[in-house]
Amino acid sequence: MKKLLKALILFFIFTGIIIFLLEKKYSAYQNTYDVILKDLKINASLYTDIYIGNSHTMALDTFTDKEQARVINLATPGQDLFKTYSILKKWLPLMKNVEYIYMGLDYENIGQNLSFSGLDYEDRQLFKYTDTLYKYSLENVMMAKSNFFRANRDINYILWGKDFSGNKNFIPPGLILNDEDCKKRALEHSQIRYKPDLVEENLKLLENIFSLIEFNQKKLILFVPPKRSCFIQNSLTKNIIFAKAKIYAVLKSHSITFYDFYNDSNFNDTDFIDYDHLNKNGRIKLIEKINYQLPEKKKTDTL
Amino acid sequence: MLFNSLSFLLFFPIVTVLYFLLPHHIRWFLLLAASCFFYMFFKPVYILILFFTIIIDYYAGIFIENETNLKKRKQYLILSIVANVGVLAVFKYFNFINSNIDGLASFIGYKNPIPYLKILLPIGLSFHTFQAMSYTIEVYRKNQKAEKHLGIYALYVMYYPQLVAGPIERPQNVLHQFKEKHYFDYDRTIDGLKLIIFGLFKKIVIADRLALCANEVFNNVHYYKGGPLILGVLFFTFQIYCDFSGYSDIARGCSRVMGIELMKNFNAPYLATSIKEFWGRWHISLSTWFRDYLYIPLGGNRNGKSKSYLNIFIVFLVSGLWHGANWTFVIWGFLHGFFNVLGIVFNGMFSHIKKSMKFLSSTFSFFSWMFTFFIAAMAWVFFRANNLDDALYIFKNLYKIDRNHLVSIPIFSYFYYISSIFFIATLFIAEYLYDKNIIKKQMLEKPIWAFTYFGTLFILIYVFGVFEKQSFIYFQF
Repeated sequence: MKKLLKALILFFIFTGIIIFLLEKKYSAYQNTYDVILKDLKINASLYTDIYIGNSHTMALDTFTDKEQARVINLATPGQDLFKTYSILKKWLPLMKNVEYIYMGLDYENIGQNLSFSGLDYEDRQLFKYTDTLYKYSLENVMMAKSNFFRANRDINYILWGKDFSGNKNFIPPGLILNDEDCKKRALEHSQIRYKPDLVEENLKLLENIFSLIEFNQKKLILFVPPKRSCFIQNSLTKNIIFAKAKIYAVLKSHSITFYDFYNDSNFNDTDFIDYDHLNKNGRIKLIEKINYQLPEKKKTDTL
Repeated sequence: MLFNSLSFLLFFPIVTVLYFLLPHHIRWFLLLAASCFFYMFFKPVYILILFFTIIIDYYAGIFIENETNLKKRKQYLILSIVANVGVLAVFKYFNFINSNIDGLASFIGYKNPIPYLKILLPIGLSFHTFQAMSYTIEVYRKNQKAEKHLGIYALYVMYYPQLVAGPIERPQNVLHQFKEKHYFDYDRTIDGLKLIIFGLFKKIVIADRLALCANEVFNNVHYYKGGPLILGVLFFTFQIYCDFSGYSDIARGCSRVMGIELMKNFNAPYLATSIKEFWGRWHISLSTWFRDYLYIPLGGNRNGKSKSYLNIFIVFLVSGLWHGANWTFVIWGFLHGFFNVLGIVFNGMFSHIKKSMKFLSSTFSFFSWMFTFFIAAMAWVFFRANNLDDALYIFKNLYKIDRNHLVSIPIFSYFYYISSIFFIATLFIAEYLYDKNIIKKQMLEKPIWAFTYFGTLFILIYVFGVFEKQSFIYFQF
């Protein structure tokens, strides 16, 4: 028995050292959420406007045409409604000066939860900023608190010292657009990652987001971001129509400012950097269209 | 409770330490209580089903032994089998049979009035009912004495390492081990721990990693063709092996630490050069169960070739149904039965060619291996597909290679594929070297190699393991 104890102690020391070294090495690692949300802790009370949603909202950057507005963009790639809710729940009460929340919502979002698409690690990366997890278990919390696991065990970092995940540029440089890839992306969003049995759960989350914003006495501007024509043509219409009907039904019982740019003819292919993300022109057009009807809007320049 | 969970990481050492601390005569109680606790982690109420069959089989065993009248002995045996198969029929096959009645009724224009049961399949039901049946059959055959100690018999059915996914044990192998006094043994413990960590590696690093892609493809088959479908099938082929053999390794390892030896369930099945050999290496405890309790009672190969082929078909069809109540499993079983028979029919011819052309022997073996692997992998399509339509779609579109997009599953990176293929190749080579006796078990017994073995596997699990808890595939059977 003593021999086994010695062997076990030796093994635990070895594993302890490995874990310690990895934790130390990855303590400076910046994942996507660290890059995007790093200002939040320090400057939470300074912001007046929040942009939130997935990468389609992330593409807006912090652009605003309102005078004296300070925008923070809390959108992250692949952000689902659970993540949006978690971020707002934790941070909204601390953001005393926020007046408007611009929330981007794709129809497909209503059937998505990225924890079911093998992307649980994103949930854990966000834990630091939300204190909650989709699957709140001891194992998950331990991983969410580990630097190594928060880095999604990115071994590139050990080998080359680069934290690729922290790269805020989610569109690959030198991207060449083609119909086949556009179709794939549209299907990925509207079919592959869209699970009909998640709709009810997501609608509840949407209701929770509305209540949370109302409770904190903020104004919500909900919008469906525009898409390139090939993206719309190749999306699975059945799912889009179903999701649209569900979202509209929820909105009926709330007085929320809502804009639907999904198929808006004012946006054309030149407004996009790829198949579904707006470029600079596109983002200016979108913000202008949204803010045009706000009483507080003061235009600073002409487009 | 899952072997690949934090709860088990605490459960196992606590139970093991208590096992060696407690006096021998009450160890059975500890193991039984631990097994109940282990099982109730899934769905507590289902333990009542286990108790029901345990009581029936326990008394059936005693009555069979005490009875001298052959007819009555048989009646007790039938009672036991009906109770076990009945539980299986209700929980596993009722809705399947009903859905077939449904289809038949609507075909002839009637409405099936029988409602569906809204029940979950108790975890590992097929495993413990088969293990329980092997007990009463062996008592009936007088190969095993009836167990008088209800607690020990209950432990035989409920022993936690093999309760939910086997190996399906025989009473002759384990019952006496529960009564023997086991002392702590360092070498045996290290041996057991090696099996556990290797099983965890197979499950967490290989099976669960491959599952990400295999699940994506099999759950959305109609979005893919060519390359992604081939990858999905290939990945599932290795996923199911690493998942199930990983479980068996952990089960055997846990048991070995306590001094109780469970039978080996896998022996590098993908190195087999015929489907018959494959079944001698894959899920050995089930294939020998079917051999002993179905194939031989049906007549085996004693009544001529055609009867023997028919018996093989029956065994494989039942084996298919044992795995799941779905026509896809039946077809999977049929395919294995068909290729088994085909192998036997052509065995003489192949042996003759092999002998007469010795210089081509290794080439012949290589092609036999390739063919066997191909058949096994193709058959897994039916095993894994969610329905027959999906399986047929895969076969229709498997060969439609899109050269521009060989690997076009949007969710996964190239690193994922490269690392997955690397781990498959490593495992395959290691098994080959072990099978050919190039790597010897004794090599790992030197402390430095043992330490390297544990250290390497720990690092691989920690760095590459998939920790999103996924239950073992065979739990559903």
